[in-house]
Amino acid sequence: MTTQLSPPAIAETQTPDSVSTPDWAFRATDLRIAYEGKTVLQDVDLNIARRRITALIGPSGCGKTTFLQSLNRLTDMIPRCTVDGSLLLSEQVFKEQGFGDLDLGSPELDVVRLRRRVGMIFQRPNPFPLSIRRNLELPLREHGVKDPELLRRRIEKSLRDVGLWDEVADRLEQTATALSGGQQQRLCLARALVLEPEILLMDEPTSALDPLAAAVVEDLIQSLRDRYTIVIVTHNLAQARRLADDVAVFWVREGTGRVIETGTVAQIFDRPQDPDTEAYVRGLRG
Amino acid sequence: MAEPRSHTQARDFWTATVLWLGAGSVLALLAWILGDLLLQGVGRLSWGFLTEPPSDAGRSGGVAPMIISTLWILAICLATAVPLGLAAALFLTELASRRTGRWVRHSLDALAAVPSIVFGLFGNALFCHVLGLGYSILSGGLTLACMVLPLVVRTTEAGLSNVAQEIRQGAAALALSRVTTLRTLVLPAAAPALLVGLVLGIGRALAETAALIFTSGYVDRFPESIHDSGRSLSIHIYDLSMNVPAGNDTAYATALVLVVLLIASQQLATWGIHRWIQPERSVR
Ligand SMILES: Nc1ncnc2c1ncn2[C@@H]1O[C@H](COP(=O)(O)OP(=O)(O)OP(=O)(O)O)[C@@H](O)[C@H]1O
Ligand SMILES: [Mg+2]
Repeated sequence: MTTQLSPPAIAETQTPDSVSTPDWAFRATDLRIAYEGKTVLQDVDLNIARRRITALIGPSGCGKTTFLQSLNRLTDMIPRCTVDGSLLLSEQVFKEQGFGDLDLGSPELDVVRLRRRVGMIFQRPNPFPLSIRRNLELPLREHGVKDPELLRRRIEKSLRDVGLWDEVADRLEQTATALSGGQQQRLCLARALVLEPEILLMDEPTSALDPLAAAVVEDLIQSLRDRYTIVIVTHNLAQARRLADDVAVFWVREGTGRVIETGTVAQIFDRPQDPDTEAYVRGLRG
Repeated sequence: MAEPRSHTQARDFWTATVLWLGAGSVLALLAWILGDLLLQGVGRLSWGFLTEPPSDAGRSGGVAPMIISTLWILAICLATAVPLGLAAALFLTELASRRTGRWVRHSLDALAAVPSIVFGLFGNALFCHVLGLGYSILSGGLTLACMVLPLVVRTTEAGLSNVAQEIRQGAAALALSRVTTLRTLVLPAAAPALLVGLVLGIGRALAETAALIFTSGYVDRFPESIHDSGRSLSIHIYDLSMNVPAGNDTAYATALVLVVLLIASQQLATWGIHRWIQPERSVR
């Protein structure tokens, strides 16, 4: 894949405001996340660019999942998990403009509005134990799509988008848990796409799949490039290199996770500044 | 290669034999109990036995009033314990703080271990006297509800909290409301556990004597309403075998009726749960 020679879309850690890329989706400033009072992630200053693929890499336990889950406030589900600092979602990502940026730290935040624009794919495929059709119909109905013809069309479209339509068109009423792992993960992607979000958060979306299924899902992510803002956590450095435009490296320093380096995929993999980043991308450490 | 292979085969054979023996003895025990009941009780069984009141202290006549009383007691018990139990289980998994949850669970476990005679005394004091319900089917049913409640709550709760966190996260990430998540995803997934709680509860309620003697009483007439005293089948069996000379045949026949009733109501519960909780799960 060709490396991109675009300006760094992610601000440098030291000077978050110096590179103010106009088109950002998320902007974290001095973000700190703690579980039960124990800080696991701090000093995070990060801009995530719109309509680009940002990979979050780093060793196990450095807070990548935690950070990702703060982006759609899934951290709300974890008791005694606190998020401090500022985290904004740009108003650009909403269909209707003029409401200003969404403050993800606000207690009055409308999480429905947030999560309709920000979909998520998990490490282990998690289709609902319902029929394939119901998996896609449930979120649509919940968010107000009731017309049977419209439901049918949007279900078909999202299944086509993930290349699953031809495989399952004649068994939409069968339970989704009977699909293969790779098919389940593509169904989960379809389920996220069916709400027409602009942002997709993915937590190691291919790591639970066999290599062939992983390749299919990865190609699928490639096909979403330019139309979606994608934030993907991956332990597979080759995959990060193939997929990402921008990369943020997470690392544990002094007992808590931090973002130690950010840059384009070329900067991080070919000219890393931080010695830990360098060792990590060379496969020597982490 | 032949040597280790036959060795493995031999081990498989013995493992299978032991497992079959285990399963076989359970079946044999059940068959023995049922066979014994059938042999000793079937002689007294007739249509009249199911439709007539007892006479001569139960030595002749039937058990119709006891069947009616038993069904009423069971109905009141379940109508109270199931909604309360489900609500408590949902409270524990969805709402309770860790500390509150711990207290409620400890209390439930303590309650589950209380001997039924104590529930009888408690029910007698609370329902019969304090609440003024007297010796009645209502008092008996409510007392049984208290008794099976811990069972229903704990099994249901286990089922609810076993529902994979991934499913809940998936639902939250799609901004599904709590009600939708519970109704379409969590409850159906917990239905088997709910059913286990219900079946165990029915078993315990139908088998109960001690808690009922003090609450629903042992009047063997047809109850006219749930405010009347009514004798359950289990109390009738107890009375016939302990207090009535030559009452054994009838006791066996009554036990047979009780077992059939037990199996029937558990089947009904299974059917009911599947209908109520998974109406929209189409093809499995
Ligand atoms: N629910 C939780 N309660 C308490 N601590 C948690 C919880 N979830 C994660 N942690 C801790 O927070 C830190 C960061 O975890 P996180 O899952 O975000 O790391 P990660 O970078 O995603 O790791 P991996 O690459 O293994 O998935 C870890 O030390 C972890 O033990
Ligand atoms: Mg993780």
